[in-house]
Amino acid sequence: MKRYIIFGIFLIPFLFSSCTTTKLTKQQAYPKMYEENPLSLVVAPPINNETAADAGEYYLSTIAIPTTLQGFYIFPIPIVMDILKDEGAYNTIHEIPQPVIAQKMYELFGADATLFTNILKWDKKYRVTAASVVVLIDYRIVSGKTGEILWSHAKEVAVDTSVDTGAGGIAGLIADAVLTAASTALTDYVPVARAANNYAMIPLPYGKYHPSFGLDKETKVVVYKSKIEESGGGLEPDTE
Amino acid sequence: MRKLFKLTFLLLGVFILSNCSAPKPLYYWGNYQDTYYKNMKKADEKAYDNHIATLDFILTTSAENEVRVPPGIYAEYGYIKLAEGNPTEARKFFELEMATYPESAQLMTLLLDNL
Repeated sequence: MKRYIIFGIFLIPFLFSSCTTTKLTKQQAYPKMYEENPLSLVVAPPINNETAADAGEYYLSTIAIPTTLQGFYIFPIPIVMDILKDEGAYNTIHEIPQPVIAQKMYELFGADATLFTNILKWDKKYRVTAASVVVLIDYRIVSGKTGEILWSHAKEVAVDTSVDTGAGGIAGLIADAVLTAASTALTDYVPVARAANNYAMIPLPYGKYHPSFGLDKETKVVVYKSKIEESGGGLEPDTE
Repeated sequence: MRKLFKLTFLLLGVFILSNCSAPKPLYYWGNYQDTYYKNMKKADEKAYDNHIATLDFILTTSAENEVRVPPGIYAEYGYIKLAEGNPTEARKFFELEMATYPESAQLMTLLLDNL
């Protein structure tokens, strides 16, 4: 009998742990971030497999702020994109392996690393009482010095667009709400992207401009790495 | 009586804590995401003016609160000045970006050399 109880006790944490995601310290999860300490990041033109053709460019408007608030220097996006367009690299950049792009960005701008984003899913779901968007974005920070992936994140999230979370830009949301019926998809774009980005930034180690830079190594986070990184390499995005 | 003291102290504690638990934000970004997005999407005069107003707001609010201007804002402002045909102003803002964020030097030098 006792044996059963002991067995049962051992079983309980196992059951729980199998249905929750394991937490790691940021240092355990992203050791290369702490080794290289990239300060300056350049944002590559987003890859966009799901939404309207130009939505990738709109997405750019949402990525700089959360990354700077995490403590990184982000090269001015409008300027970088114009340079890439002038060089004829804007549309063809995704045919080039990411480590090569990251190294090129390091040469061209002095960017320590490149932030790649790949919008894999952007499904709008409507119900009578609520509307939400299911988003899956693959984020990767690739070193311009070594070409290695320093950090990645890919986790599907549902963003409820019928509730105002109050996370900034409330006035804009209220003003836009009038337009929602007419052009829902694009009107909702910024708040949805903002919510997804803010969530993704949680496990990202702080950069040098953040007051807690270097102090978050032991912070435990839930880790959802990009499938590419988990499988230990490969350059093509793994679309589901 | 003692209860009242306790309550007062408790309230005082909450008050003190709430006062110091609100540190300055790292940056003031204003409505940047919204006006940038609308300027890109609509690209009409109003959207453009609104985005310039956001940049102005960021510069003044950051100065008033003695917070560093966010990465890229000086540069973006200079870039707009350049597009408006004012290379002198552009130079000023590119140099401000470089002084605030030395890691931008390579890109700013590229822009300054092309003025």
